[in-house]
Amino acid sequence: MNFSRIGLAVTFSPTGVALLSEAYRLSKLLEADLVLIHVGERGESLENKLKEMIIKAGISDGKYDLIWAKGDPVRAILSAVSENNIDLLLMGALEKEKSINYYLGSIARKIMRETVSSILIFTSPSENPEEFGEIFAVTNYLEGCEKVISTAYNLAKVGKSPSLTVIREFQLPGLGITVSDSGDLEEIEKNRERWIAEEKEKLNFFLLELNISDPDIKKVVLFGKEGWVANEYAKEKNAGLLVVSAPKRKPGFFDRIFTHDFEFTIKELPKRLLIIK
Amino acid sequence: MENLGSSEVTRFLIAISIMLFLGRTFGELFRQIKQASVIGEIIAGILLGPTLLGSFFPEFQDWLFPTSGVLAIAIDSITTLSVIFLLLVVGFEIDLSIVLQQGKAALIIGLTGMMVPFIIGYGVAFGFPRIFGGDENSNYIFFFFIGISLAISALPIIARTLMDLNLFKSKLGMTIMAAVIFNDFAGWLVFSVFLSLIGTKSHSLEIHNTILVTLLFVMFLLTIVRKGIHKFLPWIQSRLSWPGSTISLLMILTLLSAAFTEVIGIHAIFGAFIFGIAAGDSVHLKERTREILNQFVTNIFAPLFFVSIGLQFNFIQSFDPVIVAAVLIFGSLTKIIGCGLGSRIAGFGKSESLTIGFAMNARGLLEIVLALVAFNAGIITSELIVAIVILVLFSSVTSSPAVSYFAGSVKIFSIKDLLDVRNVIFTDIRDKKNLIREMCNAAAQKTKLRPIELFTLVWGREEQLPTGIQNYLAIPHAKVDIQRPVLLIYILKETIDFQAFDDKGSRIICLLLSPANNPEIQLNMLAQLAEIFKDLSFSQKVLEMKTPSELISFIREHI
Repeated sequence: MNFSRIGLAVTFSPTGVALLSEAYRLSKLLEADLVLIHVGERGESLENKLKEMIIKAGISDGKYDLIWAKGDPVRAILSAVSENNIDLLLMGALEKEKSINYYLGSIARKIMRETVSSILIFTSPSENPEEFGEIFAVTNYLEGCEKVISTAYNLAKVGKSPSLTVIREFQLPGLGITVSDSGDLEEIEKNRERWIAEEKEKLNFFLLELNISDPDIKKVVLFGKEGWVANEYAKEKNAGLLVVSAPKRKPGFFDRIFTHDFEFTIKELPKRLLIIK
Repeated sequence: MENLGSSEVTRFLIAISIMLFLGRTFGELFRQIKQASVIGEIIAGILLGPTLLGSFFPEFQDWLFPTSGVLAIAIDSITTLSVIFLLLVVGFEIDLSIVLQQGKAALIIGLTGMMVPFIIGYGVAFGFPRIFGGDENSNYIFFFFIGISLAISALPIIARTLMDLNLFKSKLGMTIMAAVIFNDFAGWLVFSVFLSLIGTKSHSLEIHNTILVTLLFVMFLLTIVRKGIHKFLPWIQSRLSWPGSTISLLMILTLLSAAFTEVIGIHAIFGAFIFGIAAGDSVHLKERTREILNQFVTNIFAPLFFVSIGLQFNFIQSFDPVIVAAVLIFGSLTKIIGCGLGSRIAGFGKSESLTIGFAMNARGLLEIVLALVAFNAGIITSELIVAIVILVLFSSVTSSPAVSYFAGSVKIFSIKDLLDVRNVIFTDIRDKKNLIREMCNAAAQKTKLRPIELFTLVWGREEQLPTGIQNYLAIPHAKVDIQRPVLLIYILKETIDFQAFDDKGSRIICLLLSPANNPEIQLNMLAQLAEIFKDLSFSQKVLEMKTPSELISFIREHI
């Protein structure tokens, strides 16, 4: 498995214990070390409170490292992740932020955009964690997408997921306007079908190249706005986990105004989202 | 309220039906010969206007298409509505998120593609106004017009060219589309400044106030209105009749937006265009709604608008060879140089840069609209407007062949381009390892790669996962340090086991080497080869071929 050190940003929020339980289950499943990060001033009362939560989550002593970080939560968490060689950070986040928070950037969304490691986000963690269920992974054939698929494949195997679906999404700006210039709907439809068939064939070869030839893997090609169509499809199919690539560059304010790709994914989060760095 | 009389209604209906009939007929004729329908529609207008019909039957032409009176106003109203809805559908395709998605390259090309023609156009018009039909009294508004009219591209024509040449779905195609989108958006913002410069004469707002209100309006539409549409569209589509209510809503908001920009002193078309951008961006706007609206506008409003251009001008009387030559030379050169320069800065090779330059040189609707606005405001002469229409026709006709010519050396995603008689060998090798070694030796000579390195890569891949497909096909492959993919086809006398899915053994062995820096090319090639050989009968016929040239011709014919 790709992850050997799992980090969890612990907070005293209502989902704090549930997130600890989820993190503990995953660390056991992946046989990875568990590192708990709390941003705040270390003190007896906070330590006791934290200890209480850890016990409530069923985590035994000596099964975790605890790190106290200080300063701006985003910077403190990201520094703790790099300094402690954490390769998977777990966090809780709201499925959808209020508009103003989304545009200004909440702590969770900021970490997702600036991440230095892979991140697994839970929107509804449980104190009695369940298996991931159906896993959906998105590929775009860009650098790093092999890691997305191989991680999703390994997680599906280790976590005994009922199915893994690999999604290839693509969009063609300006396709509609070609009708205005000597095109017709039938021709566009034919081209669209041809492109989807081509993409399906490419997806087959892509998986073969990764040495993944499991016949049970579902392959889906979606035509539409990248980021949005895959998200919608995963939601419609009640995905337990959606796996995507981290953005190649840190998305800025304009990327939120004119939403695309990764910003669509994090605008309305699925049940669980794994961002691969 | 004044009404049109019975005879005027009759003339109006006849005039509109003739415009529509001839526009559509010529549009379809040009479509049949693989040219943009807009060319046919403009030519139909020239035939119906003072240039031809007016020369031979001036009284009849004046009876059908008068230049003054209520009938002229009625026809003008229809063409104004036409251009407003045309701009709505053009705006639909301006997806600014694509520009952000494609990143710096698109921004640089879009920017240089606009700045170079604008600066040169402005400068030349300033230094030599006469070559564009101006005189010593021409002012900065005239220079500004020349600059901006040379800077705007034609999104529909470019999209069409890319589709015809199978470049649409490529990285190059996506970069071109994103650059054109940026170019047109930025061009229209500058255009709105131009409109405010000429519009303030007849409106109450000062220039700086007009520019400020315009910017606020654009921001309001692209943020609040855009978000509102995004929020309410699903509700409207699920609760009210679809697509009728969505189309009505879009048209109502377009007209209101257009009315607002007219009030603040910039033309109504700008409001329609910006509203199109705000509405077209919504992921909830169903593809079908967009297509229906597109069809309606393209087949009804577009021909009426383009035909109306020919009705307004005499293309023979207003033909000035100096102005036409100046517009053609400066229009084409500045655009090709500007976009080509941007492409080089963005890291594209020479052929790719020329492809981008020629693709973005296509002009169309927007130049004509801009020229008509300037003409109606008394800024330019009919000679210049005729020259601009000729530039549109010229660039529309030449864009596709020029792009095709330059794209020839960069189009690396078709198996057809890789088929080469010299790369086909008939052999009786029976051992898999020997065969791959032999193929790697041959490929090394063509790629200047070291045979042993090539063999290590290809054989390593083969050992990791055998590359047999089905129907006697196997595709051993590797990603190597080359610019263009290479394909070698070996036809075996006996089958070798490449562990194909159908257990038939393989006799058609295609060694595929593709550039390591672009993994998608390999996937494209593999997918195309698998598609070509998907029928057993096709593979069997390939195996019946006796010579390399026979085999290549057969495959070419059937791709």
